[in-house]
Amino acid sequence: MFSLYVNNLLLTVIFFILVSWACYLPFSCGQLYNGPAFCAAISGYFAAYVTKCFHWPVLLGFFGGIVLAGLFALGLSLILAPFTGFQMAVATMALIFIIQTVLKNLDFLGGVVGMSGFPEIKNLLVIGLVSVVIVLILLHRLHNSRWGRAMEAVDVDSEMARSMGIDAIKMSIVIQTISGTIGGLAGGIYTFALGTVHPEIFGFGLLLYTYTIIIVGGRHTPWGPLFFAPILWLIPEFVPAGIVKYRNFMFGAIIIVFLLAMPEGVITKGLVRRIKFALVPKKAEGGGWVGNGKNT
Amino acid sequence: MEALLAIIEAGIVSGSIYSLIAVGMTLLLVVADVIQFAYGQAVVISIFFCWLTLHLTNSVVLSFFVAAVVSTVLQFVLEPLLRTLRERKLVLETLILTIAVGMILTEAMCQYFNAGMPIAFPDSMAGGGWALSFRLIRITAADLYVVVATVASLAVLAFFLFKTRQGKTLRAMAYNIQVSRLLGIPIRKCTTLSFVVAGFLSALTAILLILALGAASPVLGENLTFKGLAVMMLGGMGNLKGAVLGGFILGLIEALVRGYLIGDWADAVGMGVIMFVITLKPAGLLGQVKQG
Amino acid sequence: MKQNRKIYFCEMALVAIALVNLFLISPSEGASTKVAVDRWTIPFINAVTGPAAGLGIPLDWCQDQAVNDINSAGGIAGKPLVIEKCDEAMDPTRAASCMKKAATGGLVVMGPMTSLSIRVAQPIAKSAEVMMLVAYISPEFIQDGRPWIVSLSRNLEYRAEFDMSNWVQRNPEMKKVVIFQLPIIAEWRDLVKAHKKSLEKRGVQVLDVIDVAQGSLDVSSAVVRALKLNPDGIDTVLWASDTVRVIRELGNRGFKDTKRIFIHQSADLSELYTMAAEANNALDGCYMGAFAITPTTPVGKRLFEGYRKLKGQENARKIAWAGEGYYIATYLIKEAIEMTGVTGDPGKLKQERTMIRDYLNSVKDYDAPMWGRISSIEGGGFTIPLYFTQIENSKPVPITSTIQK
Repeated sequence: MFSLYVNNLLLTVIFFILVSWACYLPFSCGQLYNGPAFCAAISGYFAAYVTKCFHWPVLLGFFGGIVLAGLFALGLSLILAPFTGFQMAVATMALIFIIQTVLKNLDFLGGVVGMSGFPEIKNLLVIGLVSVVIVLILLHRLHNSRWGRAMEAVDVDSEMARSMGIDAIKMSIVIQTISGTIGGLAGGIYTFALGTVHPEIFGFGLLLYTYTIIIVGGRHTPWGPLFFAPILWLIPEFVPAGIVKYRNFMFGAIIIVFLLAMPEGVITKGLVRRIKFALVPKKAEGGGWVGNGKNT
Repeated sequence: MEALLAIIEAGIVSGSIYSLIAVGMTLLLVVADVIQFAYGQAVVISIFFCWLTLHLTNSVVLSFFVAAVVSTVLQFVLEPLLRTLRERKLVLETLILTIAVGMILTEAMCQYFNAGMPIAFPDSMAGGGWALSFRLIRITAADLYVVVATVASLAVLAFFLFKTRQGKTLRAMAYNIQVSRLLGIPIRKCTTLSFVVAGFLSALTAILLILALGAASPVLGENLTFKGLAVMMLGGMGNLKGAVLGGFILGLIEALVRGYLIGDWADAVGMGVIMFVITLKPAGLLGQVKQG
Repeated sequence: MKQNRKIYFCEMALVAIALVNLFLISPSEGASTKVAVDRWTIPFINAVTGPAAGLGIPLDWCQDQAVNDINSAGGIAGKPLVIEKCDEAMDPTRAASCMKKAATGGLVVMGPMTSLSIRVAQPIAKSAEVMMLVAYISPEFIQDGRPWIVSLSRNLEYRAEFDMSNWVQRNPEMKKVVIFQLPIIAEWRDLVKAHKKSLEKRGVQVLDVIDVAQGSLDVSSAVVRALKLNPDGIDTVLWASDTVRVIRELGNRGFKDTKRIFIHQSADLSELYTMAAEANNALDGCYMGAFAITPTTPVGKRLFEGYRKLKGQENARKIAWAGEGYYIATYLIKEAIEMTGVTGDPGKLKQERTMIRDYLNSVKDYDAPMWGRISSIEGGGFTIPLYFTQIENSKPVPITSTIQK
């Protein structure tokens, strides 16, 4: 339907949206969890390996990778759940590094060269788009549920949240597992989009983009990554070469400016509420409608 | 046997460097309630400035002076950025801001100094002057300076923070800024002072790195920051003694892996051991003084 | 409840808007590709930002000189050459994006520059059936993309045989060697295996292969580990700055016979010599493999001088390592286009890409600027010149080469 280039751009944007969502979820309850990066690697490698070497049906390999990533995140969350924000950040960065080292030294997975030559998934773009819709609905539902409010409470003051009966450990386990699974989904999509998988692909470079997307887009709603992942990824594609070389400076500066001036990001909870309110005005007491001047 | 001793000596020296970095970062955590993800990069960019000055002026004294000034100024300049977020108690945002600053510093080193290639200092500067050799074992003056400086900085800082009035003031401020304000503590002046002290420590670290390594590269900063953070976790957040102990432990583990096992695994094994320890004892080896 | 249904429909509407957003911001097809009617537009993927920028920038400059030289001599088949650049930044995501953009309409693609990006780009080029012309990566690492990729480089085994045979010949008493390797680059790991094979073939035992990570804080442990085995030769397959640190440390701890030390080609960068000079010429006497020596050809001299004026003496040597290959690659593309008689007609793209592929896979005695006659070899490589040198006053002095006289 689209050219190779446009197809790749869309799949890359979908990948960044999903990874940003995967990081956004723990971020919204006060945790800097970098698990999606290594979960993406685990999912991608698993799918590539079983489809190339064991000739598994390609969709089975794809979904198998996602399940494995989820299980890995779950297992790890049992250890990481009690960690504080800073410990979580450093521990998950260390894990990215450790897993990359392990992958580089496993010859059956291609070692430092990585793997390619595994089968393609036809209609990968459709799978990607459907994934975005499903994950968005999931996150939106979560955000507006009791769980979502509990997550917000933990973000604001975890001690008080605990004293109100919120089990922060259990919440952390669930959030990390969901986050890892979404990361695995992103990794699977991107691996099949590229047609190759390599230890460096899902590494620290990903974190700069992801943090920028979340900080600029908004860390309290899922809408931020959805709108800003495409914008922040695509801008460098179309600016002149003379400016592109300042890309990393610009991303760093954007993060700093937004953190100081707009730490909530562009799409805040308040903005979402105002949009919802404007679209769906509430009934006032006595049966009239407020918001359009027709009070009765 | 002599090989083992030589490897242990190498591990102690690199461990001291990790400890110095971790002590600097711990200082900022204890007095300013900030985890500085750009600390290592700030140290290394001042090394790059030192190299540039040396190439332009051929003066060792001036280049060390420039390194010290750059280090201090960088920490000083970062303080107002972090203050805003601290006052709003935005912990994660502070972490991310310092990560962003670190990335900008690394990119600056990749693009504007020696075209991103590693730099080296003349033999006369590296090593510190003399060395004691006994077959495979070799201890240079710089090795001794680094180890002594680590222990000395620990002693001086611990004394300053826990035994002097000024130090107690700084710690009180980090603990509860509202109450400190009510008590009449000049918050801005004290916070700036604490960053300047961290800057001096970072300057000292930069100079010792020049003497001990004689070389640097743009990615060294990230490496040091990351190891410094891991060492802080290992020793206990906010615990100065823990930072020093943790640094030595990490340095020794890495040296032993390089000396006897597969060298490529040195960093991963070091990180793995730290992860294992904090899983069993989340507060770190010597216990936490500050929540991260 | 009616209210909940309304909220639900609003959510779905927002989702639809978001998805439309995804489609709307995708560029129109072909917007980034120029139609080659009155000019040849060749995509070139290079790393001018990120960790490899130190090599990518001189390479970019050198390639610009090639374009200027070609155009001032009349262009390619009478039409000017225009290069469409894309920055891979040593980031596999960017490399894939650049490659997919290039594969949309390019007749042939130059680059990517870094080995990681080449590996990511190969399957894409093969799937899109567009030829890649790269330099500095061994043919062993481009097999996944064959026959849609060639590399201006020799096989690892050939390089190892050339270097090790010359080194051992000059050190007949050397019987036990330790090799230092950089573990992170796959090609260099395989080069170490090839060195080991060549040494063992000549009766030299390899006692150990020791990892030294790039920019490692501590090289002493690795050096002590080597010396405790009492080797009488040291082979280094490391990055330039680490090579100097290791050799200095070896000297500090008693291994002073530099003739018994070999340095591999990829350390042949300006900072190797600068650092060696700063270290009181610590590398003097070491043998070293080199891809190129200080330019002796008029073109080489002109490039060297030009870059020296721009960036200084220290950086000028990067032309030899990083720039020459892609200068020559540009000329090879000119040759391919002219010899095959392709027209650049987008309607015949598939057919003309195949013609370019077939030509580049069977080059015979092409008189390359600076390198002399080169030919294709099986597996996608070329017979590029190699030099065996010895370091004197922190500069490489050639002793022998593969160039047929």
